[in-house]
Amino acid sequence: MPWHWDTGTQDAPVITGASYFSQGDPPLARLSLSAHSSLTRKGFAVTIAAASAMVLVPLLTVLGSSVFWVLLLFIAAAIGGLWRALTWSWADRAVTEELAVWTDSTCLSHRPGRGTGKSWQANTYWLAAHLHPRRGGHRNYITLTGSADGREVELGSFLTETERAALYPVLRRLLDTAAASAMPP
Amino acid sequence: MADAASASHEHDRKGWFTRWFMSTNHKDIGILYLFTAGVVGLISVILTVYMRLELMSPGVQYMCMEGFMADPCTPDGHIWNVMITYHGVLMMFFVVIPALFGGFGNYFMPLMIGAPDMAFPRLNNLSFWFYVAGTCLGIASMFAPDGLEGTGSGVGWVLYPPLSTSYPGMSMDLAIFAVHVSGASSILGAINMITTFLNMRTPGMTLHKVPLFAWSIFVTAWLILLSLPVLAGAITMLLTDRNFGTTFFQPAGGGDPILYQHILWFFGHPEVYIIILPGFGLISHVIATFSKKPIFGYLPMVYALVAIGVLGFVVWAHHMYTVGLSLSQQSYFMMATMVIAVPTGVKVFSWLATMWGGSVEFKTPMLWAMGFLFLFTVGGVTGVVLSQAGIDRAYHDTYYVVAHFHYVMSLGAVFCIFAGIYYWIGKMSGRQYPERLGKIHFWMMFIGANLTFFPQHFLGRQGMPRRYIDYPEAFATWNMVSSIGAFISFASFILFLYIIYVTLTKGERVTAKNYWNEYADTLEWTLPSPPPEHTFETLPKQSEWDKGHAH
Repeated sequence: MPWHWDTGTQDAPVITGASYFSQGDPPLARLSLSAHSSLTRKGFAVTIAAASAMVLVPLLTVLGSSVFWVLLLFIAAAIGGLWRALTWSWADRAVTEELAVWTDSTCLSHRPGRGTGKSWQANTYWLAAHLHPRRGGHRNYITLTGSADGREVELGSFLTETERAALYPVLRRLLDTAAASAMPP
Repeated sequence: MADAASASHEHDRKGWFTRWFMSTNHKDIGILYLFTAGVVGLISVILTVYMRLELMSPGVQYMCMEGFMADPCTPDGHIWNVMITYHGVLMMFFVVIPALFGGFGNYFMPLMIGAPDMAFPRLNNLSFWFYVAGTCLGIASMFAPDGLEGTGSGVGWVLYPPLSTSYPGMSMDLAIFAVHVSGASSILGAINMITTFLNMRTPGMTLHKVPLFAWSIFVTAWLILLSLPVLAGAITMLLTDRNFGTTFFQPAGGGDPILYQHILWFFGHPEVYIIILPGFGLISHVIATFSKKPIFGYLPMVYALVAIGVLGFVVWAHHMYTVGLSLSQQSYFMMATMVIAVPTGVKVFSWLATMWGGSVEFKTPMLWAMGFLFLFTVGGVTGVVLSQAGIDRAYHDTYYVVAHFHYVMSLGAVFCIFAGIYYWIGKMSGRQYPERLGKIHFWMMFIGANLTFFPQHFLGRQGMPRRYIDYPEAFATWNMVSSIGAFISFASFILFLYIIYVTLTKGERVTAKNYWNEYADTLEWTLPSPPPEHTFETLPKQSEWDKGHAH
């Protein structure tokens, strides 16, 4: 799943009471988003296994001669290169975002594939989520505003537009109930 | 997290030098590959024109010891050997692979799978410049002293020892370095393509939904990854045999020159599929577009590509029937080779079935595609003939072999390149080619190339050996015809250069995203022509590429 709540599903948790960031309470809800990588772990294993099996053909023909060792060197370098490239690409694309929501605060943290992460924080009461049908080359672009420094940040720009469209109403409802959780019933 | 994007998408304008010399953009690198391959192709074609000029009539008229066209003339076989060697080396390593795999592969494979760029853009840049460096080494080798009295190495593109290990001059070393560097370029490119294809497909695009061209690039990348390291190892051993006194391929020291042939052809046979497979993918799109039908049998087409790739690794010794293989070895390689006709047949018949009942439109790319289909099949059929070990005894190293591999490569791969250029030039440049000139180009090339190579079947059957500067008078007629064909083909190439010039400077502007029809349904047709610098930074919608009917 490209995005899920701490319930483990795409349904937001039901908020029953208040929970305060300032008092060190656990968050009311936590949303995790991750960028898509089309290569699965199984796919990786199949790729490396297939490559290794196929290169055995020329190696078998030169078994027992000194040529074997020279070929092995080059073949090992190629397979090693493929291994490194695939894992490197995974790491490059492992972009994740996490949104943690309390009654009095909402924190968004962004971890890129490489480099240092960034974070953003706003009071849940002032926080507003927007869905822009079209903005700067993006469709169904979700942004958050309401932080003290006035920064407007994006959420899940690596998701597809349909995924963002599905996420937005759930997110909106959750933020509203979280903000309302401070009030007495 | 990133701050929200501003409403207008701003990119800093790059200078011309930065854009083309330090490019990490897959589209720009693809264009660089195409242009460089075009330049090297021209050099390589000029060599053939010189060769066909010499072969036009019996006796030696042009390549003389005394100089060009001296009278009286002492035949200079070395010049001839240098011509065939560099024509082979350049075409095999520096023209067709860079054009189809490097050029179209770089440009369109990421677009078709909805990836914003290649997985490793800077590695991509390195691959390209390795290729340029390799080309320079290859051309330098042609002019470097051979250690006897001429320049260049006349050993044939296969670089067989003991000839290649006993050739004294630096020209041979430069040629080996050229192949090394181009091999490094291709391996890095292949790793990049495999990673991009595996890990950067847009969500929902499972392997069974990837467009055929992207599949063909993926399979080609595998062939490169698995066969080129073997070649690199082999030629490294040649280098140490030459320079450091090792005896990997020297019988005097316990080595085996035939072993080199095995290793070379273990690379060399996949190499011919490396050359043609991207063309197979490309042709599928062209035929579907101009038949106005989805491609027939998508999945069999995919698995035929994979099967051709796998079988390509287990048939290499059919290039070496005459080196003294045992009977059972010959039988095995004969059978295995014939099996390749099955997946190839699946492809050919699927292309025919795609056209069957379609509303076929004979635009220039379709002409090239149909020309490819006919001519590649002719080359494939002579391939089945040559696969017979017994018959190969008679045909080995005759012009029949020359005709066979030029039908599959010169008429197969090169027709694919032209089909691709006419199909996509509007997309890549934003300007459309002149239709009438494109058609003239096709007919000139089609007639010229057939005139060149079809008579070579006759010459081969009459027993004319390849790789000789001269021939007995009995072969004169068909050699004359063949040379005339070569000149017509060369004229068509000059016309092609003019067409490119006209298209890029005066061609009609393309405004539509998809200027063919709805059967050109891969993702590049959802982009403006030419596409902006950055594409698919946001993921494409599934409905844009998932047409259902295509797979």
